[in-house]
Amino acid sequence: MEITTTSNVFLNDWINQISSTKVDFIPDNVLVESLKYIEENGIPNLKNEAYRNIPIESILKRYFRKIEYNLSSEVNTSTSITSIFSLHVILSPSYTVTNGFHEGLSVVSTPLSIESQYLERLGQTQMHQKDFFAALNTAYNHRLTVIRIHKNIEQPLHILHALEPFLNFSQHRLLVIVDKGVSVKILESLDDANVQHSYLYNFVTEVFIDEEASVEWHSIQKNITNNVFCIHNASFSLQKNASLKHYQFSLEGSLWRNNLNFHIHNTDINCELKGLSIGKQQNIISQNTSVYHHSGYSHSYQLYKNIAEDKSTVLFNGFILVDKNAQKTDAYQNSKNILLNDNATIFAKPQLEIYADDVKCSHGSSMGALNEDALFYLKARGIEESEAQKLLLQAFYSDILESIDNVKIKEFIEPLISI
Amino acid sequence: MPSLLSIKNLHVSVDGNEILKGIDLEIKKGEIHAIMGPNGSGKSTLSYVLAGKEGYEVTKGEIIFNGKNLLDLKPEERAREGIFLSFQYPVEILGVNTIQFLRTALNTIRQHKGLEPIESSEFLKLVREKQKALDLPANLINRSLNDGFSGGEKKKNEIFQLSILNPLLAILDETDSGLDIDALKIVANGVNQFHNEENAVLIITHYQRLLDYIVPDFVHILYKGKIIKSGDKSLALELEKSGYETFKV
Repeated sequence: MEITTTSNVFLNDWINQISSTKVDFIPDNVLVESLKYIEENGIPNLKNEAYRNIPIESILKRYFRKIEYNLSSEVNTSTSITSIFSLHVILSPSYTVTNGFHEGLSVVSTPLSIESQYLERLGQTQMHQKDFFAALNTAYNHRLTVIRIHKNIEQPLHILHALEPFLNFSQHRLLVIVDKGVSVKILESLDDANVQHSYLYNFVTEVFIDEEASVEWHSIQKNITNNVFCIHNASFSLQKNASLKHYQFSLEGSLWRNNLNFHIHNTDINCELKGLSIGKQQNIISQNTSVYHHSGYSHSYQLYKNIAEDKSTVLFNGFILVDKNAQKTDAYQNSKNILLNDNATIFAKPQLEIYADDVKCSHGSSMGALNEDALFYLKARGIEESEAQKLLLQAFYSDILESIDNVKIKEFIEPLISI
Repeated sequence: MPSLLSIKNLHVSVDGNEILKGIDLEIKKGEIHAIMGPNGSGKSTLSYVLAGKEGYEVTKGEIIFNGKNLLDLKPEERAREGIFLSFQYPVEILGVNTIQFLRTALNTIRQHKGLEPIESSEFLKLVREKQKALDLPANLINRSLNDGFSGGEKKKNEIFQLSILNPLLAILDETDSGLDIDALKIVANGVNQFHNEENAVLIITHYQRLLDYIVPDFVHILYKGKIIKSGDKSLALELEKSGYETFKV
């Protein structure tokens, strides 16, 4: 077994623990690159620009010095966790359950064997060369699930990440392939109701959207258990004429770290990205979007809204890259931020790298408290301060929620937003 | 008849500057009062102090409203007790629906009075009736609060809210500013319909114009933070002719 050796004693010991149940399905070159990345970079510290303000190493040392990870390789197909959506896939360290078998949908999960046509896609978008946790997931993965959608599916598909009681760490990898011309609506959420202690969940999602396919992807993250730390690296690769509407709701959690990468590989692609982050207590919510315009004549739109309460920290980094041959690109990014008190912190950083000369790119960012005049106006009509604040916050994010097309998905998400 | 509003020796400072320098005012149920004064005399300060806006420090004096010490109450509690301020500059609040907001406000006030929440059908009937009376297009009040409203529509919307919430004291802070003559008549008519023997109106204005349509029982002249003269409606006409200069002390 290949194990990285770094100069960090803690990291070496830590990796020794997590590597015990490694599954070998990652292409060799990708595996080597991942190990090299970990070796060279180690655990991101506060000097690392991408993890500034996120004390990863102290979180690992405090909560995860000892890894509880011990699974049999049997495939378990029963679970107490359920979805209200009839069509769903439940992903957990010990089982994968698919319900509501649907024509046009196929799901397969390790330890069952996975066809090489899928395996060779793993790591294609190079996340393992950009982020420690993506590299970690790639090098020491526990489980891989492949979902392929080859015909239109009308009803929403619910992908549910389930955490396991008695463990404190797991890594899952999800590969989704949407075939040419297919349209699908996906809801992705996480269930941590079974977890009674601290948990580190490191998951990677790779989505390939073929020509003329249309995907609505809604990822909702809300932890109900304290000290559940989730790190998510995802990439979406889009081909000619494809469209993606991606929603990211990150509502409460000790740590939500999302690195979302969107690759625009061809022309006439429409990529619409929206998100709402709400930090409470001492939550750290970190949203990183990277939109890569590798090809011209495509459109990307980003609107992210962030609310920080209590002593929380909410971070938004929005990176847009326009390659030199991606002419006539139209890219837009905006983040709007509301701080509800003096102890909360928001960092919002737009970052644009444009190498083509005939493009339309714009970005904006605003930061502030709730409008005092608006609050007073509502109170002067008899409305309680807390209710007035709630009305204004709902107004702040309503456009994001209202733009969700699927009613069932909207109804699932809306009650989870508590302010 | 006991006072609905009793202001005694009210001194108010904003950022350490004294704006109101000893105001006395008694308003009884059934009365209409007008306060007139030049720019910077403290008219809007008085309306904000009554509604409870932050940043206005009462350094001396008291305000008793309907038997309660108003200064002990938060803005939302004052509104529930029956104070209504028609804003000089109503704010636009994107994403807050006018009708839903108004229903929340009305039910909060009803709850305070020990009443059940209003039935949907009854509320819609009330809305339709008042909206027609004020010539407010239906699509306007189904939008976000004041979003894209013209100046006149915003003022009509204030009086629309007044007529639905039906408070004890309506404070109209320069409700006439920015209104054309037709809108002025409609707004005045709305206020007159609201007014009865059980409530009172306090009009704050620069001009006599609105008082042609809403006839005050008393007119007070506010100058440099003090009421320097009170009289009946003829005082407003006198003021219109001679200007504030004549009344300087």
